[in-house]
Amino acid sequence: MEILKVENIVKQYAGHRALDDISISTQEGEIFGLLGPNGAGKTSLIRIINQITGPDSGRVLLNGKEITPEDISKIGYLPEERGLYKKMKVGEQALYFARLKGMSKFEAKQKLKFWFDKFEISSWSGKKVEELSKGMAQKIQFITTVLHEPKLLILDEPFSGFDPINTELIKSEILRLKENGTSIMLSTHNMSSVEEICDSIALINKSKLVVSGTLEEVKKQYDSDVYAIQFKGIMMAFANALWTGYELIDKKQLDDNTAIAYIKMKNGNKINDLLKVVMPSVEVEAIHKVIPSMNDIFIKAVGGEIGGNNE
Amino acid sequence: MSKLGLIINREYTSRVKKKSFLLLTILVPLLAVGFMFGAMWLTQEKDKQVSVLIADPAGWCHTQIYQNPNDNTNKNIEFSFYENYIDSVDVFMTGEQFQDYDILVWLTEKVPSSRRVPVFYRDQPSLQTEHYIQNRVEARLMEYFALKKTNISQDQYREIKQSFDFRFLDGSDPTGSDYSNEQAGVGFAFAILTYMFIFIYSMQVMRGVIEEKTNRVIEVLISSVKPFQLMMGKIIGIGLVGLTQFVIWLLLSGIGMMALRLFIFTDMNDPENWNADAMNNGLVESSMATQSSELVYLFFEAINWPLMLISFVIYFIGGFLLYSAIFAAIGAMVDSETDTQQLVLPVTAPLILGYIVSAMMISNPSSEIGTWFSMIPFTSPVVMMVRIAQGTLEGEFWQYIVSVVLLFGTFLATTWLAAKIYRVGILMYGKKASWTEVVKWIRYK
Repeated sequence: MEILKVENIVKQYAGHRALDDISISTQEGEIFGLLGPNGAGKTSLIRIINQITGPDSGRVLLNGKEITPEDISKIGYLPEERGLYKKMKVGEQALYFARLKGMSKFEAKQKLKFWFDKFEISSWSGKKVEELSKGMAQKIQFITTVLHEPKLLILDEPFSGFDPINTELIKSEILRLKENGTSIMLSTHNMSSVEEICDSIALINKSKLVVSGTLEEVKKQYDSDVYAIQFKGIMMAFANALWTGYELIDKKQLDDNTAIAYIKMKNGNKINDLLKVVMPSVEVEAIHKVIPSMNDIFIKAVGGEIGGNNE
Repeated sequence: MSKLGLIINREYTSRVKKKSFLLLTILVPLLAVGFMFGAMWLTQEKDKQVSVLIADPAGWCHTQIYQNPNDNTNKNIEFSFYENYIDSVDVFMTGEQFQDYDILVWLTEKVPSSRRVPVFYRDQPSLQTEHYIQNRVEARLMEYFALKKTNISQDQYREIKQSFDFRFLDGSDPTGSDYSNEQAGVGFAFAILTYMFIFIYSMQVMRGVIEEKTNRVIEVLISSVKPFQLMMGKIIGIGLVGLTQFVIWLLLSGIGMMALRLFIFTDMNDPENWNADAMNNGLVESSMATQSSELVYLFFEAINWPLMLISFVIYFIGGFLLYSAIFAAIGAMVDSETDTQQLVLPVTAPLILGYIVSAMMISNPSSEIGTWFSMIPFTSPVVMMVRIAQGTLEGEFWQYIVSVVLLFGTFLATTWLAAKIYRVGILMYGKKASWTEVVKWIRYK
């Protein structure tokens, strides 16, 4: 079932269009990756979903109904630009945010105790935020985002600022929340984590939706019919054996006598055809289809462009 | 508690709990009262006994100096006369027979023509003592020469010498007294107080907005509350801090004044002393007692304190709401406090203008400019305080109503506009917004 549906969102800022007819939908209980280069419009879209700004046209549906300000308590939002009051004590601050989300004092205190114990940070409760390291502050922020047990979590760059250990901690928490039925939308530049945890993705570039769907669908879409073939023998002999039906697009020498060649099939040739051609020249050790990584897909979809404006 | 209530609560308690707030709130009135105590104490402190020798070979003084028994400075000064010549100062300083005298008033034969009277001291006397000696000896000399050169009697001379007391009274209230200077002074003090409170607390609102922006806590907040709630919560919370401070100051000042009356100026409690004329003998300059009775009159009669205090609260609230909304918008437009200066200056200009007009109104209470500025919302909180103290509102109370209504109406308008700038500005990082951008923000949906 769809939990969040974004329909034909257009957002125009002075002089440029931040979002151009964006439509996406996320399923209940899945982790949805919102990808795109800097300045693509991700944060603009996330802000519209959180009702921080309004779209010029289009609408956002939560559980099939147009979203209202009351739905805020059903959403947990961790913005990319996030921070805490430096002079305020950790415990007081977490309590304040929880109550702004509509929790009662009693309930908030109980839940906070649970999370502080879980992250082993109960001893920080009386400390001021300015005394904490950045990673510690990030943990507090994560807790305040999930404390009210929202049905939908929106995490904008959740891993930025964390060391690898804490990244793993947050990642496993995200997966655990998913198991408990929380739907999660996250934006990230960390493509390996997208492959690891996302069920489906949408990629936005230059204000437009470039590709969307489940991870497999997207990968299939970017399947370029490339095979990696590992062999013993001489690369020159291997290359000479190829006819016009194959294109050697990359190669990697593993040792003096072993190499991997990346071959793109042409004219409808299959693996068997390729094997027949090269087997007389080299000794084939392994062959497999190259599945595009999210990193490859990202670079391909964005067209190798780098940078952009701040969102 | 509603979300607005939560925000107000945080803004209020986080500031009131600060050590600096407690220190400022309690120390300032203590210092002020302490300063007053100190100043009064010093003026009351008895000067040490001073022995004055008047070298008067011509006998102008007739070995007499009139000292008013009611004047408490005279008890410390004893005049003696030496009707011979003293050749030089050295004789006075070193001469055995003069060692008991602290001060020599040297009335040489040149005095009537040169009008210059040298007075020598061993240890420098207080200003008050100097003043008193000059006053007494001068009066004696004047009298001597007046009687010598004319045919009038001593009584006639003293009658002529009585000073005239000019009083400027309200024609519609001719039995009243003239305290316009004191009233203007109190009004101006309140104008400064209003100006400072509005300025200081509006700046706090701006700093709070900038803090939330630079901390990046802002987006976390507005995913839970509306920007307008956040802005108003901050403004109301900080405004309450200001009111709290004012009330504490008022209470502490009240206690301080009461202590002053009970322990220092006990004569103030005696209604006999309330009549300034009773103490005025015409020859002696205003003494401690007459000053204090005027002070008492000023505190209890000349100023409509309830109206004054209520008006301060009304104008502080109105002026603060008006300016703080603009300051909140400025905070949202910039990325750091250093960027604010050129934006703050034009906004505070009207407030400073109000201050200048208030100062002008001390000398010109019924000025037309003052009347206008006391109704224009951006200056009225400061200027109207002077008018209320001066009592120039009588019969024109409608101006007060107009002033308050305009002030609160303008506050609604500026808040509406500020909210539009605020809600966009708080999400803009990295640079200061230009005015054209700000105009575009106002138009955003």
